[in-house]
Amino acid sequence: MFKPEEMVRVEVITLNRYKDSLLTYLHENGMVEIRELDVEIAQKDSPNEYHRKAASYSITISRLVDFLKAYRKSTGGGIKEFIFPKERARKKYRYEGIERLIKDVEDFLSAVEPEIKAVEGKITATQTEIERIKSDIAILELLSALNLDVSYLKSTDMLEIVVGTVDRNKFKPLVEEVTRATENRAVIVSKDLKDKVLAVFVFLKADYDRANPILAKYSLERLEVPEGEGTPRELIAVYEEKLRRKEEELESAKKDAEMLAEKYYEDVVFYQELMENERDKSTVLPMLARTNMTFALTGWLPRSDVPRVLGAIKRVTNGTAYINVREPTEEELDEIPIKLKNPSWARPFEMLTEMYGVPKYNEIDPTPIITFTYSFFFGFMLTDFMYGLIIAIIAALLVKGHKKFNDGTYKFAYTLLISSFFTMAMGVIFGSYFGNAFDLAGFTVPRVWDTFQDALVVLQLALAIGIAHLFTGYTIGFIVKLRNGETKDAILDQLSWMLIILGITFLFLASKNPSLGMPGKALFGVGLVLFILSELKNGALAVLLVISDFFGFVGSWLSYARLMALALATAGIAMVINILVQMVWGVSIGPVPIGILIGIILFAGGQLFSVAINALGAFVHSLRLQYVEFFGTFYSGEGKPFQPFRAKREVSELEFEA
Amino acid sequence: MDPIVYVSLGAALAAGIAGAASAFGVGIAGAAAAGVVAEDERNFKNALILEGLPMTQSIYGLITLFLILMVSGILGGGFKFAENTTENIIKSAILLGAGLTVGLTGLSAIPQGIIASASIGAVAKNPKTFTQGIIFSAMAETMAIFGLVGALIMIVTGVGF
Repeated sequence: MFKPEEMVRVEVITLNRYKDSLLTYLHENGMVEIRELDVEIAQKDSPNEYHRKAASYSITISRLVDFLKAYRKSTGGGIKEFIFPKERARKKYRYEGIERLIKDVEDFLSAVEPEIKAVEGKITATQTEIERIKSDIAILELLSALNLDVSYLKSTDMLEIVVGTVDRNKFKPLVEEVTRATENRAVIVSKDLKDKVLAVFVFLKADYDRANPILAKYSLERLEVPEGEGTPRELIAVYEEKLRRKEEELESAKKDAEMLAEKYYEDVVFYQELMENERDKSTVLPMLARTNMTFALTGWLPRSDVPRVLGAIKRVTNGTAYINVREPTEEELDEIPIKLKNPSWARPFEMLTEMYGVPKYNEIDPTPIITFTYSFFFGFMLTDFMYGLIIAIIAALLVKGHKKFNDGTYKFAYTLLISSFFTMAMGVIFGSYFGNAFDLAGFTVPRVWDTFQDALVVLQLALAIGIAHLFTGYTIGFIVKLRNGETKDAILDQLSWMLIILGITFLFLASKNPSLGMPGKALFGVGLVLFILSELKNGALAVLLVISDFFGFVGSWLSYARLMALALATAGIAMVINILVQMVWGVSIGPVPIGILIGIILFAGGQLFSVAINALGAFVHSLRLQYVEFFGTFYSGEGKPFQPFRAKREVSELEFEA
Repeated sequence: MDPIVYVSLGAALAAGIAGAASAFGVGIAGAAAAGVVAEDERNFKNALILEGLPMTQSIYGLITLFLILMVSGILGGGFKFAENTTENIIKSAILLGAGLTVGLTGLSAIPQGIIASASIGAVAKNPKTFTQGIIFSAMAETMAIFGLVGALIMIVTGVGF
């Protein structure tokens, strides 16, 4: 707790023939973050032919997956699936080297790919044909205005026939120009459509070259006359019959695709995962150094994993390996990857810390603190027992359903669950159950404070919490800097503010106990002097910065007033809904008490809306108070997160010797 | 002016200006949301939440409207400041000030909508930026919250329940 996991550096040199099995072991167990190794006399390793094949097959297979996915019967879905998702079954694969795996994949592909491609090709071809028939029908619909046999509109040995549409206002000049160019050897049949003119031009072959540029100049849109004989109306019937047959073909092809999806989807996804992991595994190769017989790798791992990793390396290499595990040096401080380490009750909150940025190796991990403060602020801003209960029920269901996946939904639901306890507790203190619903219904609700009557108390409470939060932040920063030997910075940057805050607190308390006035002034004064000293390093800008930073601090502090504002906003929205319900409650049409029905609907819908919008507000602003105000006092968040070399396994599992 | 003019102006301006600003904000964000949904329908949930953020100002306005109506007695009972005495005028003028504070700080919904719209674009490119986008948008809301705090102090200390 408070400190990230201790990391050590591992260096391994062993024989090339153990490379595949060693990397596979590390990849499957995901305990080591491999780093680039620079050795002058040795060359870098690189992916071989099999790794390149893995990369290329993963693309081939992902195409098959995309195709089959589209024709898969959708399963489940809905709310139940969201809350209680099913675990996907993992198929085992016996791993005996990448060569063998590639061979297996090739066997699989040669059996399956042609079958899938055939159906895919059939579907695409049929779809293209359907499109073409549809456009033919559309053209025939246009031509039906002419009522001419379609076969007359085809060019012959002697004649060139052009059918097309042109803008109505361009038609007249077009006709004139064409007639002039062909010296009257052109027949033009036309028909007015809406804002276009449908026209048939008949030229002698010899005149066509002269007429063609003119047609282009007036942007005549040519129509490709469909094959066939008879009037357009007659032909449309023929084409529609054709269309119906093609659509039937498409349906049957789609049925085939659905069958294929049912038969192969799981397998294809399985092999896709195998290939993608193989491809990812090969991405570390350029980080290794190699000679003809040996290779070397280096990386970081948590100290607690050292015995396991060492044992495995010895087993995999039959003991023929040079292994060196050492402590990080001072220079490597910025390089050490950070893996947060917290007790299980705080672990899901690591998500919030990681979202901002993990600490540096010599910084403190604020997760346990924000576990408490984030949840408490959330509860303070929501402040309603019933709202807390609703959130608790939803969050508890999600926690239960997603626990085994340890995914983002689980972590988020867990943070909500903890926060909802604070929400309920605050709701009891402020006597808020769906806002003032019970009060309006005539019950007496016990409460310590009333959100509206005691709004000023809530404000004071919020500001007191705020200054305590900031004080905690500065204190943590002070301790961390002292421990890291940055005494001067600790005193100037952090202690100054701690004294100022203490001074303000004493001065405030002096209104009740005057003897605290003097120490308060003294503390405030010393703090202020230290603070001004800390700004002197900025030279000429110091005066401006003193002013702006001091008011920055005041701004940060006042920012905690949002605790009060959002608490009141929740109570306010709930109250608005309750008042509206009260208004309609008594309405009745004749003997029918319609108001009660409307009231219940309004109440349920309104309160649910209120929970949603206020919980969103509480989440956002509670997080903001951590990130902006609290972290601003001591936290950099500039560490590099630990990214172990790890396989992604959802539907597959490797079995191998290790 | 009669006290009723102050009071109703206060209530109207609080809900009116804040509501109009929220509408602008949601409008700006909504235009971006429609765009990214066209690109990929899975953006819908994230875009919807971000689009909803500039709505809070109108809620603050509405709460202030109700508080003003309640403390002045228009809601539940009779109008308390009907007589044209100095005290009544002072109290109703304070209510006007409170309403105006919330209304004007509610204008922060417009820049919030701009931030939300940019965040919606960012989320479409990289869904991991969702929470960051929410936090950025929430920054602009700070001013509206300060306005609400100020107004609540004015109502509670200046007029009281």
